Amino acid sequence: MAEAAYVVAGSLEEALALAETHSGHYAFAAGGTDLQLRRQQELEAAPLIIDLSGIGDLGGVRAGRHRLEIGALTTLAELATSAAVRRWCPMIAEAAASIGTPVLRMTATAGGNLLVANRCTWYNQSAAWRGAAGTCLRNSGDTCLVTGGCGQCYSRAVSDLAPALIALQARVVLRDAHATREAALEDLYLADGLHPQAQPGKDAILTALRLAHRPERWCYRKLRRRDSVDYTSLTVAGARDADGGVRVCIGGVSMSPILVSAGPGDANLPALTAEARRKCKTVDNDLLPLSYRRNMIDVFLEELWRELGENGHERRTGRVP
Amino acid sequence: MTAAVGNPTPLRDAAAKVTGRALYAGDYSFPALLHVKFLRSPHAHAEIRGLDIAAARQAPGVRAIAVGRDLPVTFGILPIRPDETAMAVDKVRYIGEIVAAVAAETAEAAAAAARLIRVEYRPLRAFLEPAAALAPCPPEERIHAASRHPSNLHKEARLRFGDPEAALAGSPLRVAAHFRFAGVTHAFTEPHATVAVWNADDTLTVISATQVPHYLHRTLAKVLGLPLHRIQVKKPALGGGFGGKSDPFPHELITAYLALRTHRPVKCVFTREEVFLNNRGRHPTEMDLALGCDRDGKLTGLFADIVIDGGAYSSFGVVTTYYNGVLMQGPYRIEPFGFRARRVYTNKPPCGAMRGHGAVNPRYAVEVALDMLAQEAGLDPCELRERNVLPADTLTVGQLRITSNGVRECLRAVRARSGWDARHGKLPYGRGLGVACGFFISGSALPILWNRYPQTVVHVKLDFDGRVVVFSGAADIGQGSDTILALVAAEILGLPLERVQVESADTRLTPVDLGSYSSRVTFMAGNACRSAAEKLRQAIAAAVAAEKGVAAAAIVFRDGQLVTADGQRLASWDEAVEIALAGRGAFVESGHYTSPKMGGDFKGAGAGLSPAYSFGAVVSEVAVDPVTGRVRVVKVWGAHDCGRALNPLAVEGQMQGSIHMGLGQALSEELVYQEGRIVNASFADYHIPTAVDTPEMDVTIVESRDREGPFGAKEAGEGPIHPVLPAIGNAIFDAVGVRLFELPMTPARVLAKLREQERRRG
Ligand SMILES: Cc1cc2nc3c(=O)[nH]c(=O)nc-3n(C[C@H](O)[C@H](O)[C@H](O)COP(=O)(O)OP(=O)(O)OC[C@H]3O[C@@H](n4cnc5c(N)ncnc54)[C@H](O)[C@@H]3O)c2cc1C
Ligand code: SF4
Repeated sequence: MAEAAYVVAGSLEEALALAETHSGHYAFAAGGTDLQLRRQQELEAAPLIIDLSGIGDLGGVRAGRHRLEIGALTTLAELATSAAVRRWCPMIAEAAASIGTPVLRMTATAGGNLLVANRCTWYNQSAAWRGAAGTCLRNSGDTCLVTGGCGQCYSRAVSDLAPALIALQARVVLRDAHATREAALEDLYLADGLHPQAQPGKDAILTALRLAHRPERWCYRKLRRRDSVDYTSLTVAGARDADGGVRVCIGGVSMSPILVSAGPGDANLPALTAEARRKCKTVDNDLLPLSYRRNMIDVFLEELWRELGENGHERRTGRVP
Repeated sequence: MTAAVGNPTPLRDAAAKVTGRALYAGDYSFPALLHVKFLRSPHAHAEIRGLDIAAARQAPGVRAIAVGRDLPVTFGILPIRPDETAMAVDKVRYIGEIVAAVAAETAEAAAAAARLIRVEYRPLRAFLEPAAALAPCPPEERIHAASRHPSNLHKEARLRFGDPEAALAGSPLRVAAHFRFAGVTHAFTEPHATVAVWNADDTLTVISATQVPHYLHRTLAKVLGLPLHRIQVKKPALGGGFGGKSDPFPHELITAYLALRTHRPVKCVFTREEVFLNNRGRHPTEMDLALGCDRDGKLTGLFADIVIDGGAYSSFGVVTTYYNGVLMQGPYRIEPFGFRARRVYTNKPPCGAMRGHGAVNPRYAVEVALDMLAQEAGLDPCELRERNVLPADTLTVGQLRITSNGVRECLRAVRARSGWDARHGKLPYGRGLGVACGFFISGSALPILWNRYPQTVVHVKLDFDGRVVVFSGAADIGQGSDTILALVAAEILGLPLERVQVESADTRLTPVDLGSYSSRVTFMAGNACRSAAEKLRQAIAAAVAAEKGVAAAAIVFRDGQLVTADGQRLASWDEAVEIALAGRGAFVESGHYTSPKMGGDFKGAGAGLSPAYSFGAVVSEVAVDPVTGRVRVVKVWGAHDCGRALNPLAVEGQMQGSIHMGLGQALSEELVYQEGRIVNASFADYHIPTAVDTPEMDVTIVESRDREGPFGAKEAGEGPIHPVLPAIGNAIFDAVGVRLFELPMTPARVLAKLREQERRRG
């Protein structure tokens, strides 16, 4: 693991000033559960860690009648248990509760989760392993070890909050040393594994999430080997409005979360499935077999369609049988 | 009377372990400690043409560097053809094999310096799959050029009793299938760690996370060229082994060597990835099995052809090869019976012994085949098994001597407790019940090394302070053997448990025990301890008898007192100690155990011989999601005949642990390789079932009271795992009608079977 200087920022302003000064040579840490693992595997070697966890006003859930704001430092454990979050839409809590382990959720943050780095079985390995396998595109090499191609990296976006929050039309608040702006969450993600992380903007901090839209029905499903610990192999989150409009977001199978939506009146399963198939660039870079994961996209979408329909259960969670 | 034996007793080290006070090998520290890090091979198979350590030697903090030629003596846990060296000498045989080691002032400095070592490799043809490795090839291509075989075959074992092929051909009912099993590994909590100290008196102390202090002791002497009497091996608190710490390992030898060379204490602690690279887990296996029965369900014959993928070195492989075959000859009467088992070298981390050694995969195959036969014969699977189980006091077809045998009781217990008769075959689609039985050795009757010593010796010491100290070389690896020894001594001496203390696994202080493998410790060290404690009791009784003028034989030891048969108090324990020690002071009594002579006189007759066998049965209930193929095990009922539960709490723990471990191999655990690299060498990616994946368990202890076991005890640490996997496979069949011949039974595999079933049904 590379040595790094470590600073606990006392305020947002301090963190932003530090970032600007050291632009390109630092990493933010919130819970650090993703960052530290990448440092251990020598996938991250920034010489400075700016720890955001001491910034007081970035935490907490604020609920109004028509909006919900979630601070970026809110832990996943808080999200999973917050009554205000559940009242707004239980899907957020379900998604948070499906991440990692109880211990991890006590440290991991909502902001960190949305910005978690993409994963690939050929990449998320120790330095010695990668040394033996040969470096890939994402790691200063010139070919992708999965596809053999030299243009595109297909590492998987694995945030589980992202699909749920995108389906719920969440917006994010981004701040840099000069300005604050708001953006649709989905706009943070590039369909490019070589920029394998949501892009909050140069030297910007994601400070909060905002929700102003409540669907009538929701459905969240996550595919993984075990009911705890595992990263997602496929996450499907969907929301249906009273007028029949549907937003479905798929995570874990492509370089970014994949949004498929249909306006009131023209939502139908075959169209959704066809669109999902077209948009998901799924390759063999997860421990579950490729054909199975592709297969499960169809299966999950079918289930989701049923759940979102008139006879669906409003409180259906991602669990299997 | 407060009996010690049979009382549910928390393990002696439990409180220390859960409160963080226990000292594991990695917790030991000494002044001026050096740290070792390794350079490992990036090639599956390559010749080492050059090794340049100049830059590494100059790196800050570096005190010594070791390379293959420093320790060229070969070793291995089995004395037959030892094929390992501490570091690769002329060539590397798997990705992750140690090529060089650096001792430095800090672990970071050692790691940084190891990267500066330059190695020139000439890649050789890598054999990654057994099929390719089995094809004849020239010696220079082989993984071990010295092999006696024209290919990479390591060991072929064949046994036949009667003519199984002919019997099967003529059998009214017959099933055959090809089974595949992925490699799995132990996944214990504590990573390997070793600390070596070169003492001022020119002796070597090695503190190591090992199940086999005795074999490590011998191997250190052999490889380092030190006399046995100058080596002390100590096993401190240990965080799980399951067979993964039962070889003498390269890192132990290297760490000791570096201590010897630098005259400074040296420490090595593995990363989790290194633990996976060290492996010694269960062999990936392919197996063709045929089993037949007549219309009444009586078994007519079995033949199996087995190939196990050994990885780069032999480890326990010869034993594993035999066990794969011979441990199919129970718990049923199967005649004629035959097998061919072949172990093949491949360029992957070596496989070795793992809980249920050699018998887990073949047990799956036999029990699934039995289920298929039951279906063909139109018999209930429990009924078919009951018609074939071996009785007590019999010989199997290959002359394994069965003494006590509670398999029928086990089967009946799980059948009743699971509501089998009312529910099997009658649950709604997607739900199912499956059953399986198993048996296992209580210690291998043959020692690994032929010599004239007993297999274990126990000393008990009595001194003025009134405590009894049990000295045993047995390695408590978390299975609770220290607690067992204390229970046995306390029972014989009628003492409260806290009066008995145990010193174990220190080759300078404690007499030899061969180690914690093959489920031997309770049976063998327990017997030796009983015998030593009985001698101590006799000595005390004789002294008290003389002083009090009663017959020694009439003295009863109970509740910390010596009383006459009619309950009259003769002496308190402390008074008795004073009487017994008068004029001579502290003394030690010794007990030992050697297995009786048994077995046939054909080649291979020794494989699988044990002074006693444990038996068991499991019913599991599953829910299968036909849309995703995912299997959830809802509940498992297990029954195990351990002869007598000296510590029922520990027996239940072993049964539950076995169910959990079996569940992992059945459904989710597998070592995934890409071109010889383990892809999932972490606990995030190697899928051990978590607490939420673990079903409700109902365990029943069956006590058949073995006449040769200590107080009737047999083993409980490995046998309970065997029936778990096939009970799950068979339950899946009951739930959705498909047979899984490949483990783990992942959702993708289950779904593929369901699709195939759909296609067949049209
Ligand atoms: C065993 C294990 C299992 C896991 N399982 C899952 C899972 O099932 N699903 C899942 O989604 N994830 C999983 N993760 C990944 C990760 O732990 C979580 O996504 C977690 O929520 C990340 O949050 P964090 O606060 O720890 O992020 P950090 O590690 O602190 O940060 C992650 C990234 O975001 C950046 N960052 C963090 N906060 C901000 C901010 N406010 N503004 C700008 N940049 C920021 C950091 O610089 C870093 O690049 C798992 C991790 C482990 C180790
Ligand atoms: S998808 Fe290809 S380029 Fe991207 S991380 Fe994996 S191997 Fe590397």
